[in-house]
Amino acid sequence: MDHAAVIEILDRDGQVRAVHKVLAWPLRIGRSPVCDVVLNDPHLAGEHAELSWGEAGAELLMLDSLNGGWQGQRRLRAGDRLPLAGLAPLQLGATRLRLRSSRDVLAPERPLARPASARSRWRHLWVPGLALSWALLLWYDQWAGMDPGAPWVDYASAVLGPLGVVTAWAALWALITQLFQHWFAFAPHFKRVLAGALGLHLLGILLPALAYAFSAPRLMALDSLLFPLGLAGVLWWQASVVWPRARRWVALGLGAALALGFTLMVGKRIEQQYWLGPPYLAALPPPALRLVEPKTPEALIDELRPLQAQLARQASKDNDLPSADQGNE
Amino acid sequence: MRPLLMQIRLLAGLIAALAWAQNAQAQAAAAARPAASAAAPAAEVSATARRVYERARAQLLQIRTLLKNQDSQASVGSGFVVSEEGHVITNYHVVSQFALEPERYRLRYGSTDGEGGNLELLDIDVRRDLALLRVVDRKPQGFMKFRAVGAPLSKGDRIYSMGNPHDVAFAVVEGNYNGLVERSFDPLIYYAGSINSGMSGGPVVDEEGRVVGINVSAMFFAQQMSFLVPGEYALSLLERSRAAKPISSPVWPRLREQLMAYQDELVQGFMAQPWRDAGHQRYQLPVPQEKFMRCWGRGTSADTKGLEFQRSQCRQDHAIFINGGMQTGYLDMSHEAYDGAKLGALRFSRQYSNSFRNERLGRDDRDRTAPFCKEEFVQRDGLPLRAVVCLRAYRKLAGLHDLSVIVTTVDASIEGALGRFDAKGISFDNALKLSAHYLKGFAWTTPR
Repeated sequence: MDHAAVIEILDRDGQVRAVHKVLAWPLRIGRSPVCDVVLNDPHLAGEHAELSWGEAGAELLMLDSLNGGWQGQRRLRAGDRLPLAGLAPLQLGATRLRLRSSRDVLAPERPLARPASARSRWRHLWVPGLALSWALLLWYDQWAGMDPGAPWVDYASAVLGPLGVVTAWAALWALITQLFQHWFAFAPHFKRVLAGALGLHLLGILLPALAYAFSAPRLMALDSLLFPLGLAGVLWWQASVVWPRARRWVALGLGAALALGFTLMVGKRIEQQYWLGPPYLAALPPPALRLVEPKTPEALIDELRPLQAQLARQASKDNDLPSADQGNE
Repeated sequence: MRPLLMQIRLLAGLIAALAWAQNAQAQAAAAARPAASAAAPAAEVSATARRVYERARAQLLQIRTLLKNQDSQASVGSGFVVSEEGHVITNYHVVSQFALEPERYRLRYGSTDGEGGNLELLDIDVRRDLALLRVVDRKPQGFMKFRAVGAPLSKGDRIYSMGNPHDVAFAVVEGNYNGLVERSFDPLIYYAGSINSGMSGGPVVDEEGRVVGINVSAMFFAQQMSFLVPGEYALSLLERSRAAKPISSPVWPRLREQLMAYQDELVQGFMAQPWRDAGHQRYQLPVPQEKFMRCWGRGTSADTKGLEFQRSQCRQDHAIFINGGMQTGYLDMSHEAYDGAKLGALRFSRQYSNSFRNERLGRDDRDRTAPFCKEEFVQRDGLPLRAVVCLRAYRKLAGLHDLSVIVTTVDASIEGALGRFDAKGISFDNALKLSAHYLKGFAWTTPR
């Protein structure tokens, strides 16, 4: 056999689903057992097409069929004869396939993404480590909010509740992965959600502390930006396990959803002083964290003066929201 | 925590139906009781009430605010004729819908003998909640006179309130004069008698039928605690605007002018008083004199396991009515002193932050803008504070603002104080002055 070749059957994503080695030229493709390449496609005729090797290379002859075929935009009908050059895919009935011969350039061998030798010995500790760290943070949160002497069972729901939700979430994603990838990828999803939850939790603690330390209350605007971004990031990270080839599309979709969310948020707060973040910094960490010198009361009063014009501008706008308060609370 | 003293304006509007249902039940209950006292001889005081009412009935009016193009009443109150030309005194809040939207509403009166006619609005005194009207198409029979300012009543003197409660019927109610309300910036007569919605703007007269006050408000969940505007303010409104032209455009500019003058007086009067001592061991905290504010305090019980605090709240009980959704022109302040010795620094920090976060500043609505704030660490005699100053501007009363100042001490890891000061309806300059004045109230008791 001078002209070694294979017929690759492609799936909808263009990935090779099956490979048939060409054992002899010419060969017939169809549903019939007499064919050399038998395909399980009801839209094919018994003998749908014939491939042969001529002087110019491989050649396709369309046999009698109802559905014929396509090459790119070109419709193929019974009796059509055409040369097959390069790796252009072909459609016969509902099946996409292509011919790859020894004349075609072979793609180089790709290195493994995470070769076994490069994997850390501690990789199995990632998930328990993350889970434990987050559980500790949750415990601390609950501890700080409670009065001394609270029974230990009061911590159970505060720690186990979020962990349970995250576990269920990872299991759901694992099921989705099972559906698409035939892989119950619980650990990768669990790791991703835990990392996200831990990161956002730490951010929620560090950001107000930083804003307080440097008296930079506008830093809290990042809070309302980074939380949705973080959540979208975790979703993208998980989706890329399920649909690795659709990463870009998932990112695009999540990006669009984020943009819409931010637009709605700003639209609701268009008359507020700040579009993002709380109206004032409410964190009061221990005094040792304050790194800036306090100002004089007069300096604060002076900073207020520009508000007069800003408020007058706001006051000239129309607003139809009913007056909510009779007092100050 | 709201203060215990809450006043309601006696305007019969949408609540009338509910009140009517309650009244109907009360009447049924009264009818079921045997009339045991029917045979008793009539007391002399009732004869006085009858005489007082008979004398005033020709001047007594029901004031109705109607939609411009139909006869349904939007609200009802009371009023009385005070001049030969047909001038009528009532409360501003009785006619506020017309005053603010004259293109949508009109004013009518109903007399005790069932006649009716049109009214025109001449002037308002929003600070005293008074309005001066004039009967358009009828020559009134006589008018009511005011009791001389130089002849004050004594506590316990019997006085008679008149009006048309809940649009039921004209009524005369006996009660007692109990002097002026204490700790009030503007004088208000404390009347021990029942006045109800719809009687707003009605006259209160002495035994000779001379006007001593005007029905204005009553206290929620209290018995026979009602408040009257002293008659002298109605008299001066009459004298000031007797010849005024009828008002045909919204009164916002006039409201603004009157509120501007009022807030200047209020802020000056307030800032002239020194702060009182809060009695805290570590901090000096601003507590106002109880001259025109009423203070209440409370604290955690001694056996509390967590954060201990003591709270003090001082507030002016009397606010100025602008419209159904907005009252203004008052000061309100509070502080909480926290002791976290039982908590430790981390837990204290969390609970202290939560208290700080809980402060509400309001949102943008049709009357006021959203709050615009500035915040800084400031130092008062060495004591470091975190101070937030927020302002909201009034949309239709240009130049008036609501001020909120929130201050926390940030010098200690298990101790702190959170103070809040609110001033409603003040100018921007006064807001700055009050903010500075309030911040001056904070310091250490002994310099460190």
